[in-house]
Amino acid sequence: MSATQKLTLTSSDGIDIEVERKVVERSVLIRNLLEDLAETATLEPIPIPNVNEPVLKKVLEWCEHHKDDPVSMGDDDSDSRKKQTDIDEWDQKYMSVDQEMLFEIILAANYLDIKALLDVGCKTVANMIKGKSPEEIRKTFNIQNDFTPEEEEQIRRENEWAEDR
Amino acid sequence: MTRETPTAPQPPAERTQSSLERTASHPHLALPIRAPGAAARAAVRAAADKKLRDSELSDVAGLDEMTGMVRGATGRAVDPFKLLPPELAAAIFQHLDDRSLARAAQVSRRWYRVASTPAVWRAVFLSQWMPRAPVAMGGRGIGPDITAAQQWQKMARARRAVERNWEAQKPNAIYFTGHTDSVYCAQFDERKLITGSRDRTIRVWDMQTYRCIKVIGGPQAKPKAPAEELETHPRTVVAHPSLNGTPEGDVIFHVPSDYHTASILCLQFDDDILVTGSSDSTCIVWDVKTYQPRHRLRYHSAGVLDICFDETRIISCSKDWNICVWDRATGQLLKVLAGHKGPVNAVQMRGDMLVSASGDGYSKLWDLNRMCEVRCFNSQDRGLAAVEFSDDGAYVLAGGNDQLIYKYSASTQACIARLSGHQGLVRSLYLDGANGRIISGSYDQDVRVYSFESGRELGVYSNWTTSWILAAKSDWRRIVATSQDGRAVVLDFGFGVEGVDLLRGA
Repeated sequence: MSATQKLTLTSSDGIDIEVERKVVERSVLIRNLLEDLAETATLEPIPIPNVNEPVLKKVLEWCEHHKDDPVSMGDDDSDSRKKQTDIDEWDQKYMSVDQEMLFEIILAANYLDIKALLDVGCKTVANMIKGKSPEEIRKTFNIQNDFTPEEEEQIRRENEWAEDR
Repeated sequence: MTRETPTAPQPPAERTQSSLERTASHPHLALPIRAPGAAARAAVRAAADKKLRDSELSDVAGLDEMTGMVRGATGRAVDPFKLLPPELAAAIFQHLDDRSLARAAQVSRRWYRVASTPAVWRAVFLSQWMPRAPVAMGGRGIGPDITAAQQWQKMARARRAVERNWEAQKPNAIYFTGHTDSVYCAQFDERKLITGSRDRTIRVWDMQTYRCIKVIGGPQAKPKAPAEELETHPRTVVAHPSLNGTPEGDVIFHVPSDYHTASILCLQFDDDILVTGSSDSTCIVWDVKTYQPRHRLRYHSAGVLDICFDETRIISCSKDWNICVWDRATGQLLKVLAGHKGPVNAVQMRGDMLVSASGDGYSKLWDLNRMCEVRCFNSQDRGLAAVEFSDDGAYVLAGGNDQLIYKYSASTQACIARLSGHQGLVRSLYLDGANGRIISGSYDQDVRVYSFESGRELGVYSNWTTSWILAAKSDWRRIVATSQDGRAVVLDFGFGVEGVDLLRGA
């Protein structure tokens, strides 16, 4: 079976997308599925019921760009990985999308089990939170402050140790 | 052959929306947990909402001021945690630092719940404080076991407080009194401090009670009268009086079967052995648990000025200009490394590389496999007293007579930085790689702290003892310095910090 073999994915909204096998194998979920399938079965479109067409296309765009990256070893949950908060330039541009699309990409990356993409997505959101006050964070994400004034004060005091004095 | 039909892939181990909400701890707050089903209803609503917007999603308009992100014409800001399940919310928070996470907890109830989970605090704590290099001195400051349940948020808070005390340069002082002459050398872990002195004894101190628990030396070296009381710093919190000449002092004094007959100039210990070097030209290898001597290393014809060891070798350097390589297990002499043209004051090894500093003004790099000299670093003038090797072997630090600390590249031999400030000979250097600090001690009675990375001065501690600083070491929460005045002093940046004991090792 060659890596350039074409496969068809069907998005949740019923659109077929043709894609190189090597590209789509960035997804551990799909890679495992393909390994389990008989050769001929891969000629059938593979349904991706949780991801709609725009998001799936966007995710595949990332997979295309990263198709030659070394495959990560499943559970390198190590703390060293978390230390590198830098996001490379291409990924930064890639992530310059609508907030909703960003969250959809994270959900899709999680569902499709694309660790590196999930990581970049999470870092991107973390970078949107970093350095902001609670009120700035609320503005950024259009969040209602649902604390009572007493709770708010209590939580503020609980967390003030982290602020510079 | 049966024809398989591809089926919809199942997501890996799907966790339920509410698992985290159930386990979230609210240490000080009784927040109402949302009614079951509410989350699901909200998610459905959000999904329906989203469907309406999906069709218009792709027309992109200007940059969002707050986030610097391009926003769709209709794409409004949305609470990520309304869309993302708690485990993904936690995955995002894990990339924050302690301050950002503490702020995120104040955003809303939903954010508070996610930001209060131990797993998130664990990840944030470890990414900030997991030692960046092996810890050879003191503790790691990350608690007894990183795989166990710990109070990560409290630990983060305590660690931050300790760090602030370093920044504010406000340690407390703990004095160790008992030696009757200059204290030349020291090493500590979280349980004990071992010091060696010109008074020909080795002392073991308890790092919890700060009391002397053992004095090891020949019968001639037994102290008779209490050491004189010396001035202590205003920030002193513990200063137990010397036990010399008291019945308790008699109890802790031990005469082993073999002992040094002159000053103890250098020492190093690990979990198995303690090695000391002396003006009597020999080294003694001790069992660190019983403090019984195992071997006596004889070859040098003058005082042993420094020693270091790894799993297989012990290295000693001497006033006789030589460096000796010994077999750790048998105590046999393997090789004499000659080349310096003056007393060799300090040695340190990384892997198979050994670095030495000499009174001849040179610092040399040796290959212990081939047993030969491979590099030579020149200092400005006169003698080098102290040398350190970075954990990755990439840098060499040296200091001495010209009152400067030099940072060299080990590979190019180029001098990368000169750290100034001391007004006297730099007698002691310690590179705390795990915490990125250089600690120096000088005849000017100062202990100075520099950033290893930038060379920036991070602290100056003047006159915490009444004479020259002869050794200074550190870990994440303290500096241990020894002085010509016969004392060791701990500058403790964690003393009295709430929760600091949570950071102790096992």
